[in-house]
This record gives sequence, structure tokens and C-alpha cells, in this order.
Amino acid sequence: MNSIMAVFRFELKRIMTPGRAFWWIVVAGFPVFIMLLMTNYIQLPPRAGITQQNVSTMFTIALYFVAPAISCMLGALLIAAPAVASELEQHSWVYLAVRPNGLFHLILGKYLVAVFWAASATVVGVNLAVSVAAADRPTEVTAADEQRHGITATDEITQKVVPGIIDTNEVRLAMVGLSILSACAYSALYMMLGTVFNRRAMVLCVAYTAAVELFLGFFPAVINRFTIQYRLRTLLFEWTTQSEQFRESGVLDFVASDETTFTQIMWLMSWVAVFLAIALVSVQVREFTSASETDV
Amino acid sequence: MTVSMVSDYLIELNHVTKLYGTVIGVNDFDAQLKPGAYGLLGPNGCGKSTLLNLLTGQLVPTHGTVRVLGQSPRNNSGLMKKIGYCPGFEGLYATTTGLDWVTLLLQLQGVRLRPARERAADCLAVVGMSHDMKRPISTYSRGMRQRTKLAQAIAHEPTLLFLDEPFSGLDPIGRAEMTDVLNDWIGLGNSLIIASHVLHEIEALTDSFLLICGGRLLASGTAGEVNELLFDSPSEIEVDCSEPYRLASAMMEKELAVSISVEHKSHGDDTVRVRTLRAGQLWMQLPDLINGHGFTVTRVRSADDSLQTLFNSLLKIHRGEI
Repeated sequence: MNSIMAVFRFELKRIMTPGRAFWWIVVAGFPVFIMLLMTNYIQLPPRAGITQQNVSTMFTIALYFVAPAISCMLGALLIAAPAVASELEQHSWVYLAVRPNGLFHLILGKYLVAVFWAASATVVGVNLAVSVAAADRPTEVTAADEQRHGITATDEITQKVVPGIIDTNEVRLAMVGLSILSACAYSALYMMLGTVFNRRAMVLCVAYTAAVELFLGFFPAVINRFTIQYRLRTLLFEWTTQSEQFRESGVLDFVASDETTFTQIMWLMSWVAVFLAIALVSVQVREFTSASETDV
Repeated sequence: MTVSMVSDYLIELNHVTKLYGTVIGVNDFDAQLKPGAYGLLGPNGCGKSTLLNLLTGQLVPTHGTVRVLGQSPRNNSGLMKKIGYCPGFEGLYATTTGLDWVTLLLQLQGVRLRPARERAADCLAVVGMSHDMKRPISTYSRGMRQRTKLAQAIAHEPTLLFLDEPFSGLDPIGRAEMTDVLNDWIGLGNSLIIASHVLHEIEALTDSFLLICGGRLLASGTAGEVNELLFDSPSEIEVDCSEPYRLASAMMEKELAVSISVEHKSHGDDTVRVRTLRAGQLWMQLPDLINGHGFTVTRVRSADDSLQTLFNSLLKIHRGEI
């Protein structure tokens, strides 16, 4: 554990560069930026039947998608995917390889750095984003709205249907939990892909994310059960309150599991264990040398 | 897995072959070395680095077995505590300080943070880096980086040290200082395997050589034994003489040369280039030949002083062509 923490501290110090700090701010700022856009520019059709809970549900799902899903994924990708390739490319691998269990400590230490980096950026991001989305912004029903939607401005519509999230504490807690789980799971996934396919780590991780997590993960078929997205999404719907209309629409039957929260977390932790085990076995079994081709 | 096994040998290589696809890195290498200091001598691309990668467990032999201190080096954490490795390439983190880097590598040997930092500072001082160890490595000169690499290799007090071209990039003073550090280290009873393509670098540290070329062990022994082996090997010699054609004729008469060419120079004496199959014989008879005929010779030198020629000769001896 001492050696893993040594790698963790060393790598954390090493990534404290202006370039990495910029990306940390980008990852943290992305959900805030999207929430600002949504609250300021989305014109909600003020019609009868649309409730504040509908709006809140929409904002919560959107926040989940930009923060624990996309931002956290990006954060983990930036740190975990090139973890092995960068050591091999700069020929620093060998110094770690000739230490007792050096590669084991390297992989786990770098994994912890990726989790910390991605989770910290996303947690800061979701907290700011929730505050932005919860800010009180009364909407006005204009004459044009009345004409276009055939409604009359009433106190109920004017006051209640505002962009934002109702239960900020619930959403904040859920998003923080999901961000941490997402950082753990995606960092392990990218660490595995980056180790097994170290020569094209970034490209492969992006392709895998697009094809499996973002495409197959939303397929209402058995295949989506084997994605991290499916488990995180299920937890989102477990931990937050949705509108009646959304619940009754039957969408959840296709995009989320009806198993317990504990089961979802066990699934995610199992993925983490499997991904890291594959990465660790890979560095133990394969021959990685930093020698260049001419350096026989 | 750590295999506890007592062995008299420092290193045992039993018919080790390493193939990279169809390219041979090391070819049927067989050697047993007792504890001590050894120079691994060979031209660039001869398999030195592959051999060191095999000895440090980073590569697995395609055929044969490798044992270091009686144990297989592959994934052997117990053995890794006893060996130090200084690779030929740099591979240092630019933004990190030398002190932080050596401290990390000591911590990976199981040393706690505070003692690791103290020990790292001591080792960096030993290699002459005490004033610069808190600067980022990106600001180091090539020589400073070499010293820092050596510091990480000896910091955990291994009993066996592998060095791959450790003098590369060092100025003469740096070479002398590093030679002193390594001689002191050997003097403590530790073992050393140093790979280089420069003979005199190794000679300053040890008299025991392993000469490899094309992935093969061509010869081993002391410098004297290797010289003896090469005494009657083919060679090319240049002689600057005022009467080149007469000298050439005299050499042919004595059957000392297989081919001779004369190179005319605009200034000074012309050069006679002599190819011989028995260099030792030529070197012994040349003074008498010059004196007997009264030639004026201004310079005699070996035209093929490169290590590659020496290894080509050894390769022919190895194949039984000479």
C-alpha cells in the first residue's frame, strides 16, 4: 500500500501542470456551461399539463448525461488511457519494471490518480451545475405564447414552470455519488484498454466509448446490461425523483434495470475488479521493453 | 514467484536465444559467471541491451533459461531488491526533480517516505548531484542525467548492478568521477555487469570481458586473453613510407600480405595499405623489414581500429573460418 500511495502522490504532483489544470477546468466547467445554456436559452413551451417536476426530471437527466457520464468519462480517459503508453514512450517504464512488483504498484497508483482527477473535477462541476440549474428564474407567458400554444397565462404556469431542478440536495447527492462511481468504473475500463492496447490507447478508448458505452449502452437490448452506462443510469433513476408522466411512460423498462441499488453497485465494483485484474495480468504476462527498434 | 535457491553463479545463461519475430536478438548464448565485475563488449546492435533485458526479467527467452543469483528474473520481486539497473536510454520525467524521482524509486523498493528521501539525497550526493537534485530534470545536462540514473540504480544497495552504456554523454571529468564511484562500489564486494561498445571504458573497471556480436558470445576472458586470440587474425594496416612500391614489393616477397594498395598524397609520404591474414606475424616482422631495406617510415597504424573489425575477426574464429 505504501508503494501504491507513493506512485499516487508522485503522479498527482507530476500532473499538476498548467496544461492538465486547463483540462481539469474544462471537465469541471462543461456541466456548468451546459446548465447555463439550458437555463438561459431553452424556451419551455408554457402549456397546460407541463409541471415543474417534468422540467426538473429533464434537467436532472441532462445533468447526469453531461457530468457523471460525459465529463467523468472524459476526465478518466485523459488520465487513465495513456497511463501505460506514456511510460513506454518516454522510456521510463523500465525503472518501474525492475522494482519489486513495480508494475503492479504503477497500475494501481495511476488508477487512483485517474479516479481522483476525474471524480474531483466532476464533483466540483456537478455542485456548481446544480446551483446554476436551481437558481430561481421566473418565466413570463407572452402574448405570442398565448397565441401559439393556445393558453392563457395563469399564476400556476407563470410561477411554477421555470427552468431548473426542484430537489437540489437530492440531485446534488445523487450526482456526487454517480460521479465517484463513474470515475472508478471508467478509470478502470480505460486503464485496462490502455494497458492491453497500449500502442493506440487513446484512439481505441474513444472508439470503444462511442460504440459500446454511448451507442450500445442505450440500446434497449440485453447488450446494454454489460455497459457501465446502464448501471449508472439505473442508479440515477433510483436516487432521484422523476415526474409521474416520465415514470408512467414505460421508458425506464427499456433503459434501466429494476434490480436493487446494491446489485448495481456490485456490478460496477465487479467491473472495476475485472478491468484492473486484466490490466495487472497483462503487465505481468506481456513483454514490454522500452528499447527502440535499433536498440537490440 | 520468488524461488529461494543457492547458486555459486552470479549469472547462468543456458543456451539462451531471443527472437523478435524472425530477427535474432540473442543467439544460443551460453555463459556461467561467478560473482565479480564483467564488461559486456560489442558493437551497436549486437544484442547487449537484449541480454540485459533478459537478465533483468523484462524479456523472456525464446529458448533456454536465464538465472540471476540462482533465480529466474521474470516477475521475481525478491530478486528485484538485489539488483540495480541503469538502462542505456534516459527515460527520466522532465518536470520532476532528481530527488523526487530517486525517492519514488526507493519507495517502490519498500522504503518509507522519510528514509527514502534521506537515502536518495545521500546517493545523489555520492554521484555529485547534491547541488542540483532539487531542480527539475529538464534542466539537467546529459551528464547530470547519467549520474541521476546511476543514483537510482545503487540507491537501494543492490548486490548486482547492470549498467548499459553508463558513460554515454559524460565529459572526461564526469567519466573519471563515475569510474571512481563504480570502482568504489565494486571494491565493496558487489558485482557489476557493464555493457559498452568502448573498450577503454570497461577496462577502467574490470579486466573480465564478454565479447558479443550478432547476438552470440564470441569470446570471454581478460583483455590479454582476447588480444592473444586476435594475434593472428586478419587485419588491415597503413604504413606511410617514402618508397611505397619497394615496401609493397618486400612485403609480398615475405608473403606477409594478401593485398596491397598505394595511396598517393599531395603532402607528405604516400600510404601503403596492407591486408593481411596474420596480423601478429606482420607486426613482428615489420621492424626488421623496414630496417633491412632502409625504408623511411613516418607512420604505422591499424587501418581498421574499429571494434567491428575485431568482432568480425572473432566471428570468423567462432565459425572456424580462421
